[in-house]
Amino acid sequence: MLMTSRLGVAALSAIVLIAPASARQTNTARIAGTVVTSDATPQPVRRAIVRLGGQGAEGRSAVTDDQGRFALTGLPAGRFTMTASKPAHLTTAYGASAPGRPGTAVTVAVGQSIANLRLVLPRGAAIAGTIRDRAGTPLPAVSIRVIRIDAPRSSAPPATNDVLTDDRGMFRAFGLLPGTYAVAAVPRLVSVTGAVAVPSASEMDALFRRPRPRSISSTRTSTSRRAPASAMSC
Amino acid sequence: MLPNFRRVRLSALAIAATCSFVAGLGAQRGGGPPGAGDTALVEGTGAISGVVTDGSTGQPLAGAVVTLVGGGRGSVLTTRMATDEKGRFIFTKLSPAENYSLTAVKFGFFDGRNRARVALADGQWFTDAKITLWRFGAISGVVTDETNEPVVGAFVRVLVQVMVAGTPQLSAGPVTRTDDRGVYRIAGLAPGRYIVSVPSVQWSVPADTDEYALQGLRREAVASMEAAGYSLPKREDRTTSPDGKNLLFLGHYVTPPPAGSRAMAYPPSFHPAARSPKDASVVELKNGEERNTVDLQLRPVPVVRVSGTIDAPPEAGVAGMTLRLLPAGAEGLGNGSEVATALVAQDGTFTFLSVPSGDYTIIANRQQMEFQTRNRTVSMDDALPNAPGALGGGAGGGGVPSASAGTTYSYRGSDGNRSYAGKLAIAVGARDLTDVVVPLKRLVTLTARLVYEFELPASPAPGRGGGLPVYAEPADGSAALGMPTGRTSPTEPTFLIEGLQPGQYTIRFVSLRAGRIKTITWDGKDYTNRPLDASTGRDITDVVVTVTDKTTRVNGYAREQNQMATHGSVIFFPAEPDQWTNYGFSPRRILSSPIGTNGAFSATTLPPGNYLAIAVDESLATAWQDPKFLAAAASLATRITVEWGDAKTVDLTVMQVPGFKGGGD
Repeated sequence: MLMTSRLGVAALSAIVLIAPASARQTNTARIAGTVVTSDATPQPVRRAIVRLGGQGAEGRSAVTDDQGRFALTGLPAGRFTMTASKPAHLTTAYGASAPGRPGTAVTVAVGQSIANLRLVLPRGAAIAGTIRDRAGTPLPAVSIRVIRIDAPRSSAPPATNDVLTDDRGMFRAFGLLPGTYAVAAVPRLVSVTGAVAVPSASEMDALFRRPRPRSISSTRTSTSRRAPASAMSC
Repeated sequence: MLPNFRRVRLSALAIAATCSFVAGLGAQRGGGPPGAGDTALVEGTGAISGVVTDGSTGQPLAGAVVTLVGGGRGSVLTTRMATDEKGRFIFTKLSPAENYSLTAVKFGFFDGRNRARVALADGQWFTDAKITLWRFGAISGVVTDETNEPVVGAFVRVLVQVMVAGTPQLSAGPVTRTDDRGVYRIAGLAPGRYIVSVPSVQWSVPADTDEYALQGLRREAVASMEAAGYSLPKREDRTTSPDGKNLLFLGHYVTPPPAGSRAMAYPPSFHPAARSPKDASVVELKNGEERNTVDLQLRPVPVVRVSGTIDAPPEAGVAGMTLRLLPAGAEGLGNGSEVATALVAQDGTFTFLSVPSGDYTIIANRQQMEFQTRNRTVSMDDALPNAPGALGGGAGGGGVPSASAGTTYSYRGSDGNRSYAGKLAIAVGARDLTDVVVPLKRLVTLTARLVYEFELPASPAPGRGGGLPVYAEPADGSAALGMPTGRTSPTEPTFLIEGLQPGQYTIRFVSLRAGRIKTITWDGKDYTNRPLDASTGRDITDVVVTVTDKTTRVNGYAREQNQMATHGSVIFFPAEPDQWTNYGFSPRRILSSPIGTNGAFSATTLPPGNYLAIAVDESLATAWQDPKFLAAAASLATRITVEWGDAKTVDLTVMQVPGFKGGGD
């Protein structure tokens, strides 16, 4: 699990991108464009990360500015794929019909500059709620798993990390693809050293009603002393 | 550890909150009578009953788990039970004893180190055991960037202002991350003073650093996991520097694009919009208090490069060492609190690629230590990612008796020679800094002899290694000095502690084989009650620690308004004001001793000397951590002289200390 987990999109990105000096003669292509929302009237998405894939594009990425614009410069000639991502958004490839679907590659020649590419980056959905026990008491630290139950075979199931309820029993899972989900509360089994006695109400009342506590064994020999009077007030 | 691997820790008691689960455990015990407990070692006819209440509302608390510790005739009995709907508990079949102690836990509440002490006579039913729990507080808010857009997935951490060795220090509190609305919430906070921060660490590494070191993994560990069919994903969040020699990994959220030709970054931020802890607004939480609008705004700032070399002898082996750049005044904070880190290249050079202007300290040390404050009932916090190069070297920690409840020290090391360390203060402005030279010096070694004034008990079987652990505690409570640790020799009455940075230290033993420190001398001078100084850089040799099996004892009764007191604490502290601070993590000459329900108290661990003693309300049991309290209490306290072999008796009256009402609220 540890080794296969993917780097979270929140983990990070890049700033100034300048290629090593030795490659400057041939690495002269440029790809630029805009990242926008999936709304009916698309809005620019700022601080989105555009990652390049393909030969010679290892580790190349750019961050969109306040107008949603990005530019990847100093590229070698070749065919590149691109994805746009941002925390709480649904990572989408350039040219893809939907998040998680394959995208379209872009071909650039030496020195070519491609501008005005448009990448669509939809915002993810969120599910929030409160977990309570039968008595209505909110339960903190319960593990919540959000499971997509209508996932089409072709797309990878959005395996969300488990989230924990907070001190108020509240949880929020976000960055979800549109779809139908089941929400499961997974009890945590934690070992507790030693036993805890949990008397019922009637057992408790019985213990407090007695003039003095008695042991169930036969050691009731020193009953001569009286319990303090205040015992009766309990 | 992979950068996004989320650690969620949960202490054993977290789930004890759900009654059904606890009941399940109870049922496994074969349906024994309530209160029957773990043991029938010494079955008596006494009983202790009482109520657990919410300190804020005075209402009884149901479902709290009460633990009874203590017992008579040499045996120790532990029993637990859950309170009923009226908050009641009762333990029966108890034998008489002076030292029953009751504590309670409930999820979302803290005990503030309060406990009920009961002295139980034969056959007595003590009905009035009161335990107060306090609701935890919480801090929440929204993190936005310079255009007021919520920042998603940002780490948020609270720093706690604690007292250590009578000196204010910063302690690392819980960590969480913002959700898709930029909202964070940190719960489980005891009353105290908090600073809320969004850390941002820029990691710079030489371009030839291998993937394993980047991700804090060992080559061998990766090989075995790859053999098992796992693959190591490459980090994608890297950028190559303009000269191609370095890679940059940025903080914990997206960094703005460059403004013109200037690289920009979000620096670590402190509520509401400060750049260092000393400029932050302190959030003062009362019991159970919720603060909901503790917002932070992140603003990008231009950054520059800071580069140079390490000046160290070859045996220091500086290649691959992690340099940490910390804001001036925050040097005692550990992983995740840096503004930047850099790995030293093979040729001893280093580059911090992306440093905002400010005053900093570069720390070159393969060990780091910080204070951490977490509540003991539950901890669900995230962990901050490790900087590249943080590999091996071990980790550990322990309690800090001289700090607020829940405070521990935590240290970690990394592979390589840990005998050399250095630090350098730098001021970063608008231009790149080059040719910075960080000198590394060999750290001080302390060697000492133990002189036992009594015949030692038979030693443990030879060849089992070990010896007894011994610590050099930073006398002024400064975490940046670390916690140099050694062991006594298993064969000789000697010990050695390596790795003392310039500073003052007190020596602490976990155990001295049934003895206790009588005197500490060095170079003909007495250091029993003052710290050893490693500031000259010379080794500290031939320290002599004399160990005695003699004891001291102070007994007495505390009265309150002409009756025996039934609760509270007696605080013993040195008559000399210069010993109210600078005593390390665990003062030998300050003691807070609980008053039993019969008014009795005792102290058996005070070394000889002149003391002041004062009986106070239980809410002031830990007030001695603040030297201002000791100053206020001194004129009201009773003077006592303690000598070896003494058994002193002193009767005290519970006093009010002007200006100190106690930690209740």
